[in-house]
Amino acid sequence: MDGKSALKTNWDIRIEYRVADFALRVDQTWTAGITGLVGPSGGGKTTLLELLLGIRGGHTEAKLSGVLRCNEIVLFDSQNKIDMPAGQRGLAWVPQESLLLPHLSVRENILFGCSRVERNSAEKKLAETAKLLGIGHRLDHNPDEISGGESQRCAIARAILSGRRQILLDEPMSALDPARRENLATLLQTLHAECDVSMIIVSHSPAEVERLCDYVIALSPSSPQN
Amino acid sequence: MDENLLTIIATSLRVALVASLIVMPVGGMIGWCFARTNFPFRRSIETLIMLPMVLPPVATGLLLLYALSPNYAFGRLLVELLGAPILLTWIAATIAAAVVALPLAVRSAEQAFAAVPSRFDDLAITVGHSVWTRIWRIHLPLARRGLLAGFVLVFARALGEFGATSIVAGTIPGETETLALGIYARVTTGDNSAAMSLAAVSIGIAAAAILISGHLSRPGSRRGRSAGQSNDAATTQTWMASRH
Repeated sequence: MDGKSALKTNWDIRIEYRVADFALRVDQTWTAGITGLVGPSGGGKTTLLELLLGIRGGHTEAKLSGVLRCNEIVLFDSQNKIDMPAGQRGLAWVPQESLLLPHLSVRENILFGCSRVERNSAEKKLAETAKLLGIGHRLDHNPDEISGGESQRCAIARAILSGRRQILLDEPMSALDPARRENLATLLQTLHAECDVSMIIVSHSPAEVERLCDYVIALSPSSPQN
Repeated sequence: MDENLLTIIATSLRVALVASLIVMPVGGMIGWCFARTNFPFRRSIETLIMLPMVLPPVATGLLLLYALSPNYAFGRLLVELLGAPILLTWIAATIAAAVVALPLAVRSAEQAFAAVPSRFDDLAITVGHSVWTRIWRIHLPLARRGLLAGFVLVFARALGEFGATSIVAGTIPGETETLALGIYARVTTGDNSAAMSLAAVSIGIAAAAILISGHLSRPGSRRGRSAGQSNDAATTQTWMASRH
């Protein structure tokens, strides 16, 4: 693995998000290959990920202000009224619960992460990526026939093959035992190097992200200020 | 079996099946809008659509009588399109059954679509999939059991429809005489044994519909429980009122 040549992404996150009695403030600009987001439950880790993805729109009373940029591309800017649609942000998502569609095979679930344009090239890379992730033999199975760890790797394969180069992973190791966590951490480093992707990884474990990530942000819960 | 009885069963099945095939896609679309979108005047539209469920069916029939009458604009348009008035035909019986069953179709579909986890939509949105892709690849497959259960209930409701149908279609043997109308006609003429035969057929069809709907509504098909995800969306309506 050649860590020096791996992709790095410049993130510029200067936002304040308020909903009901929850407030999240982040003011960070950094460049990193793998960024860790740590903090206690309710600290806003998943919220920040969803704000970056552009899918945090369910609360009508929620208020987001500030700027979100990825490699100088403005994803959100409240002052200039820019709010890029989620599908155009170029960010791939690995949700905590994997979100595999039960009526599709593993292969179709992985390809579900691709737009129609990207599907052909993704199909060519599918076997190789699935093999790298250790799920090559599971492609024609249904999601209910594979383990939780394999589901997680399917979700990662879906993100890798989406063609997006920034992948946001929400607690990818939370459901795994220590041995599998170790394997996944190594795998993520390999993917970072070999698949030319950068990542933001949400985790409860500071030790885990310190070992895996080259930049770490610690979030803590705060109350809104009037 | 009595030839009249067979004709009545055939007419009932034809009316109920065509009404269900018309009303379920329409109810499905409206139910999807209620479950997955917000739009202006939602409450007013919902009230209007649900009216046939609480109105006496004869009142619905009366409104349909005016709507379908060739003396009024819509009825005249239908005459021009179909070449003949549709009142007192099986088409009128079908329209009456469809209108009365529409609220049930909408509610079934709304519940089925509302049970599809919105996180799948979030995932599809980040990929850039269109709303049509989401409907086709997420909502319809995951809601299919609820929609099928709804179809069976709608079919059963259409099969039992009496009030509105009797107003717009009358009781014409071989044309508009359905099971419900046939039972009523035989009771009023004192032919109770024939009425009981028709009632027995109705009970058989209704029981089968409830069994099928219950089976389809039951959550937990093997494929629907994968990887900690939600089951196929399903409906559990128990409020299929048979109002005559």
